[in-house]
Amino acid sequence: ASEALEKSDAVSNLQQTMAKHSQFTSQFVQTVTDINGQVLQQGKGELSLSIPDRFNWHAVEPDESLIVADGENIWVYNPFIEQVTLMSLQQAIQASPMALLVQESSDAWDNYEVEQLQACYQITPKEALLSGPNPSMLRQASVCFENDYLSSLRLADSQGNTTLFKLTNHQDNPAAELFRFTPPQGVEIDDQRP
Amino acid sequence: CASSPQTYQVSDSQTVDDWQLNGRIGVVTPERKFSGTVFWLHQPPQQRLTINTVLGISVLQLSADKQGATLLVDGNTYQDRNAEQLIASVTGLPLPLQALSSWLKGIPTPADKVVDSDSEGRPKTMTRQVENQQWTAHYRSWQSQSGATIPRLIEVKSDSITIKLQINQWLALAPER
Repeated sequence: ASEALEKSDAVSNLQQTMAKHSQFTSQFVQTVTDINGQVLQQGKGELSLSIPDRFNWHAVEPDESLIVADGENIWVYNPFIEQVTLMSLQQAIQASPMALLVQESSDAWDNYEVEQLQACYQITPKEALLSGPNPSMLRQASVCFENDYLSSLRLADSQGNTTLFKLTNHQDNPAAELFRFTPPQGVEIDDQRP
Repeated sequence: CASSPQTYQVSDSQTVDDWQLNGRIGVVTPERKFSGTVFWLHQPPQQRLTINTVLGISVLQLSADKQGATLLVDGNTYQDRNAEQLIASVTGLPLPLQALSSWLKGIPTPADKVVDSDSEGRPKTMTRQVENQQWTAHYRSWQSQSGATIPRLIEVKSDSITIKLQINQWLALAPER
């Protein structure tokens, strides 16, 4: 395989590739396996990204969950318990690594080692994120591109789970309201912002 | 990779001890609300229960057998002879796994008192004493899985906690013994 590029080149290459389709919608299929390869969870939905700082992750099967980054905050809507959790974009990177992908600022990326292997990038949290009061549960994320579109996102966590999102049916110029969120009536807001 | 056990069709869930469940779990206490996806592999005397976030990040992993139970939470591993005590002491959540594994079949056992039933004779509300806790199981909806009629949404309440369990898939497994 090609020699792993120096980190800053890898980050800039990743961001340049992401910039080719800085706003798109795609369909995703999600499969979660444990350390023994046992399938724990499977789902389908739609993932839309809009650089910088906006994304919409909408799972529809087997049931609904929604995460919206509106450029400033991240809304995690959980219809099953009628609750919305509100976090800042920085806080959310732990909970949803997509929040890192849509960020252009280098200070977010400085916490990660990035290695490019052809059309894929491995993103590994640095030591600082892995220790301390609440260490990152994310051990590694890897993203791959096909025809310059984000085609897969794989997350490995510290307890052996691997989540694989396969993205297809990419369309550019997603609707702007995908990146806005208004809490439904009667839903409790759990504001976790600092 | 884990060998996937043989699944088969059954007429009712009562006689099935070996099963696998995929679903959604919600836990509501006065202090906090939590929801995630649940995977439960029940093959007595062994069982494995995992709860993940919707993105698949592991929240907790419990495995138990005759010798005892092991719980993995926040990257730390804990052990105890009894799975329920282990979860309660580590997470502060009194999850009545034993009772839940029976409630999710939707068939009353001698330990359950049926408070009311629906027009098809299925329980709507049942109560049960677990240690010193009185639990009430509410059956909100039903479905057919693996040939059996089982609940789709159950809400189980004690005075300090509500557990909401939605069963997305329930597979009857051929016993491996």
